[in-house]
Amino acid sequence: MTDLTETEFRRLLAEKGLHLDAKTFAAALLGARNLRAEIARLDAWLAELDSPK
Amino acid sequence: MNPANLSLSEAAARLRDGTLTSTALTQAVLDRIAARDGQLHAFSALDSTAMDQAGAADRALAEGCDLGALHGLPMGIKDMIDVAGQPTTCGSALPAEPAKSDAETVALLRAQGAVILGKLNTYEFAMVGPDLTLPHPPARNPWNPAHITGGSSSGSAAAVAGGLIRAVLGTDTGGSVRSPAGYCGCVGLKPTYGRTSRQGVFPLSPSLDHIGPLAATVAEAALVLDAITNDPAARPACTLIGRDINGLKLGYPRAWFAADPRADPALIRAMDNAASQLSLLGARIEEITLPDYALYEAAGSILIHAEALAVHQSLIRTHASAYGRLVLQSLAFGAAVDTDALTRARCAARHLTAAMEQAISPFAALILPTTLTPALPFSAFDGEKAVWTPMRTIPFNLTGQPALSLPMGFADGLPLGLQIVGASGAEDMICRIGHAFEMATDASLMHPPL
Repeated sequence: MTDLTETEFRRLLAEKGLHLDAKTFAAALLGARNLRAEIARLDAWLAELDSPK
Repeated sequence: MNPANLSLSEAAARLRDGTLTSTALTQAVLDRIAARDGQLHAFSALDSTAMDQAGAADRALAEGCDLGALHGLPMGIKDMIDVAGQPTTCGSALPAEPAKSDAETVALLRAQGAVILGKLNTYEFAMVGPDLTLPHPPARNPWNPAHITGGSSSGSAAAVAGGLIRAVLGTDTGGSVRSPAGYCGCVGLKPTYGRTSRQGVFPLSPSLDHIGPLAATVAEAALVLDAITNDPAARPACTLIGRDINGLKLGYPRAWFAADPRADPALIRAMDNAASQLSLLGARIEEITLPDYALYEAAGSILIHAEALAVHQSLIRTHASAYGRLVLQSLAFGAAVDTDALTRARCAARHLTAAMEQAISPFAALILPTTLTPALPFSAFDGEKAVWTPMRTIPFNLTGQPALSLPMGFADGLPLGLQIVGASGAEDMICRIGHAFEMATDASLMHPPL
């Protein structure tokens, strides 16, 4: 979930109509990977909530 | 005394006893802005009709027409909020047409006689800053202009803390009223979600956006919040101000901030001192454990970035080159959030809200710091990538509970903010506690060296 590749991120940005210069893209990729890590954190917590005690 | 230094209630009383006019008050405030705003860059635009509005307020009072608590008093508006006839620039270089009408909150201020003085600087689209590459200069901290104000209500906090104006409106999606108030040394009040209208406000993240006042004191913030409240069932924020806090139970989630290695030791000391002070006033402080802070930040961050990208998607397609680099980067983060992840984040937010409501329920309020450090210097921001300053504000955008930031002390000559969080609808209680703290301490009496 967290290993967002450059290729995948470019595809996601293109779907949204976003075209970034190289410097902006590099910083955005870092932030996007952090956000994927946050998604993974919440998913793990939600799974824990759902698991039988 | 210079009328610009009068509190809202002092000025209101003098307008009614005939010892002050709105015209004189508004001129004093404009003179103060002219004298100080060259250093602070708080205002992005002044309303050319301000003196006409003030004259009309004076004539109305002379004719016996008193519109309410804010009659004749100058107010500033963050430049994310529509004021009829003025462009809402959102701190951006994108083209902006004059707004056709006032936002509902601004209309409520006018209906109660306020003089709308001008627009206040904001981080671009209330997202991220300071961005030193934008055409207009960022607002500067009144306590040390080499330091940031925090954001996104950057000009709002600089204007109030710098003594330019007593009260303004800001927006708060992840802490944008409270954190600049904390960094600059004024009061910021984020109300319960939905208590104030978001109509006529450029959205950042509609499920987290709140409109609230920044003001010189808790009483003034409460007065302005009551003026812009559009929920007839809401309890007025002002009603408990002045009551003592003897016997109130306050939850103190100390580990939530003190265990964070980014927390400044001076901040931790100041927060412990604030808890002691509240205890001396009769409150019962109980250290408590809250759910993992990181979960709140994660859910908030996912919602903000996904919703902000949805808001901006069509504008980006046509105006990408006019966006600042930092905002474009931050908007791009949102592409990493798909629909399923957003749905799960909303589900997590509901669980986290329930957990926080349960944690608060035995207490009159929670106390914790607004930010974990004093304001950083501009030199910490290189303009290449966003720098996120550690705060403890976004959980209460997620839960929608009201939260108040007020000055509690200083570190390295820069202000620190105490945050008081209440149950939904309990603005009256947090303002009661905040006012009692304010009266018992001198942090709110200190003025920056301008």
